[in-house]
Amino acid sequence: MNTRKLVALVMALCLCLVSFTAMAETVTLKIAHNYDFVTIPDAVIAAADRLEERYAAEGKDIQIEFEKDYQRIDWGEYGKNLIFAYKNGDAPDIFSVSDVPAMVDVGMLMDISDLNTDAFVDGVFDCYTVDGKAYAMPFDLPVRVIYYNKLSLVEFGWTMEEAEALPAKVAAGEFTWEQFVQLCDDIQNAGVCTWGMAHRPGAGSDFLDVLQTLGGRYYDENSTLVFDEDAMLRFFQFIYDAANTLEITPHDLAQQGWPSINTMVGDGTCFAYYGPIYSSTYVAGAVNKDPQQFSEDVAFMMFPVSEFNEKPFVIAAPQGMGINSATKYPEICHDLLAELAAGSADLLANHADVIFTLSSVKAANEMEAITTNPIVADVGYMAEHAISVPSINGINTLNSEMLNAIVQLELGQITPEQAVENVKIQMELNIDEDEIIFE
Amino acid sequence: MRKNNAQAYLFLSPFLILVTLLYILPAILTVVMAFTGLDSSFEWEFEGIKNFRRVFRDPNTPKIIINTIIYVATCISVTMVVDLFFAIMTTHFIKTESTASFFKGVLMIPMITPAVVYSVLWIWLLSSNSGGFLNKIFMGITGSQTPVNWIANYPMQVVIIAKIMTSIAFGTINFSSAIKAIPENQFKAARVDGAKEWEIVKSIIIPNLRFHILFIALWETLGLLTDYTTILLITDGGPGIASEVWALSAYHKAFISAKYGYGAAISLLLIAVVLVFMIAISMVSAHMERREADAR
Repeated sequence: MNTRKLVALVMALCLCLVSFTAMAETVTLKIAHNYDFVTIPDAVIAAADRLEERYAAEGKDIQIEFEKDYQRIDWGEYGKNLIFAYKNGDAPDIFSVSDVPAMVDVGMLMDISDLNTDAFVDGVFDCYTVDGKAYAMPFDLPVRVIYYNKLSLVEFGWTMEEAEALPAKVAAGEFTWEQFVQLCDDIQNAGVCTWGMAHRPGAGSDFLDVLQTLGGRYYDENSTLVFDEDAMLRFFQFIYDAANTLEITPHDLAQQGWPSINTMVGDGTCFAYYGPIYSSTYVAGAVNKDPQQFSEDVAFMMFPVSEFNEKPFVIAAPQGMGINSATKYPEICHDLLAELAAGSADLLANHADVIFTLSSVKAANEMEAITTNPIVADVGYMAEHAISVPSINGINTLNSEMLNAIVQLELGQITPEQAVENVKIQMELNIDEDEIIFE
Repeated sequence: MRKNNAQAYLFLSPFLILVTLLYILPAILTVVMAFTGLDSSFEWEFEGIKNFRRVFRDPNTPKIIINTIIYVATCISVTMVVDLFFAIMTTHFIKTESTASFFKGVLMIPMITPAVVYSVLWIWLLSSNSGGFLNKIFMGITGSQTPVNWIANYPMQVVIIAKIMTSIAFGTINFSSAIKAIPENQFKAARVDGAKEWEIVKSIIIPNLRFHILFIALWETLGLLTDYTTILLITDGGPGIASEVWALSAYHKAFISAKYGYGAAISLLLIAVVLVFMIAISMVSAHMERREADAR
C-alpha cells in the first residue's frame, strides 16, 4: 500500500514537473513611442509573433507580450522623460529614440553593432552611431526634400511634362537653387500662388539643408558641430530676403501653426516647401487628399546645386528604435530587431508605405508596398544621393538658436549680420568648447 | 508651557515634514544645481560659478532684465490704479450690493478662466490673419487690406494687457474689503465739513488704504516676477527675446534647452530679488498688525 502511494506520488510529481516545463515562458516587454507613426512600434509587436514561431522551431516556448506607452508630446520632452525613467530604473525595454547622443551619454542604449547591417541601406546607421558603435536601428529612410506644386507650374505656363521633369533636371545639376528661388518669385508675381516658399514653423534640421545648399557645413569628419560663419550669413541673408525683399515667404510664418502651413502647401496657396518627405502625410491630410491625388498635384525634388554647392543632395533622417541597456530581456529585444531586418522586412515596408518614405532595409524597398506607392515610387532614385548625417552633440541647441534668429529676420527686426552674431554668441555660451568648431 | 509646546510641535510635525520635503529640500537642491552642469544626461557635475558667469556674459541678459522691469513696473502701476478705481467705484459710489457684486464678478472672469483658455482667446483675438477679431475691426475702420500681426509687432504690450486683466480682481476685492472697514463716522464727518466725493476719496479712502496698497503692490510684484504663464502661452517670450522675462528665461534654459544647472542659476538670482520683496512684505504685514493693534 505504501509502495503504491509512493509510486503515485512520484508519478504525480513527475506530471507536475512535465506540465511546468511545458508551460510557455511569458515575457512582457515595455515598448514606448512618440507621436503619429505608430507603425514603428507596431512593426516590432508584429515581429514578435514571428519570433515566437522561430523560437518554437528552436524548441524555446516563449510568449512575448507588450505593454504599450505611446505618447504625443514634444520629442525633446519625450527624450528627457525616457532618460529620467532610465535613471529611476523604469525605462521601457524597447523604445523610439530621440536625442541619441544624450541617451548614449547616460548609457541607456544597448550597443547593437552586431546587428546584420548588410541588410540595410548604406550609411543609414550613421545617425545612430556614436564612437563607432550603433545604438539604435533605423526603421525607415525618410529624406528631407523640396516640395513643389506641379499644377502651379502648369498654370504658370509650363507643360505637365516640363513640371514633372524638374526633379530630373535638379538631379542632373541642370537647375540651380538660385533658379528655383527665382521661379518661386516669378510664380508668386504672376499671381499663380500667394506665396513662393514656406518652411516649418518650429526648430528643426530642415533649415540646415538650406544652409548646406548655400555651401555651409555644420559638422566635421569627427561628427563635431561646426559653426560656419560665412555660410550662416548667406543662409540668414536668404531667409531675410525671402521674407522682406523677395517677399516669397510670409513675415509671420513661424507664428503660423503646422495646420495652416500644411494647408497652404497642400492646396497650392504656397508653391514650394522644404522638409521631410513624410510630412506629406500631414500636408495631404490637411487638404483631404489621398496619396494618389496628392502625387498628381505635388512633386518632390532634391536640394539643387548652387553657386556654393556642387552636388544635388537630400538628407536622410531615419526614425528608429533602441534597446534599454538595463532591460531584463536583451536577447529577445535584440532578436526582435534582427527579425525585422531579416525575415520580417515586409513590416518595415508597410511602415514606409504608410508614411510615404523609403525603407531602411534594402529588401523592403523591393517590395510591392513601396514600389507601388505613388509618392515613394518617384523618389526612389534619391536614395543614391542621400547624405546620412551622423549623431551630433549640440545640434538641437543650434537648431533652436537658428529658429530664434529666423523669426526675427523674417519679421525684419534684425539684420543677417546681427543674426549671425546672436547665434554665434549663444553657441559659445551654451556648447562646451570641445564640442563645437567655429570657422 | 513646555508640554504645550511639545504638543504644538507634534501637531505641526506632519506639516513641517511636508514643507521640508516639498519646499526646503527642492530649494536646497536648486541652490546646489545652480553650481552644476546638470543637463539632459542628468549627471551632477560641479562647475563652480560657471553658470553665473554665463548669465552675465549672455548679451541677451540686459534685454531680459529691461523686459522684466518694463513688464513688472507697467503691470503693477496700471493694476494698482485700476484696482483702486474699481474698488472705489464698486464700494464707495455704487451702494447697491447686488450691482457692485455683479461688477466684481465680471472682473473675476479673466482670473478664474484657465490660463490656457484665456491665452488661446487672446491669440484668436489678435490673430495675424484677416480673420482675427481685432484685425477685422482694424481693417473695417481703416479700410486697410493688410492685416496686422499684433502679437509679433507688439508682444510686450500684448502680454502686459493680458496680465493686467487677470490681476485686477485680486486687488479690487482686497481694496473693497479695506474700504468697507473704514469707520463710517469718518465719511460722515467729512460730509458734515462739506467735503466733495473726490476729496473724500483723496483724504479718507486713499490714506486709510496706504498699507493695503503697499501690501498688494509688493504681493503682485512677487507674482509678476515669478509667474510667466501668460507670456509663455501667448508669445513664448518672442519674437526672439522681445517679451522674454527673467523667470521665463529660467524655464527656457532649464526645460527647453535642458540646461537645468543654468536654469537653476537664473532662478537663484531671481530668488535673491524675491527674498528682498518677501522681507518687505513681512515688514509691511508686521506694521499693519501693529497699527490694527494700536487702533484697538
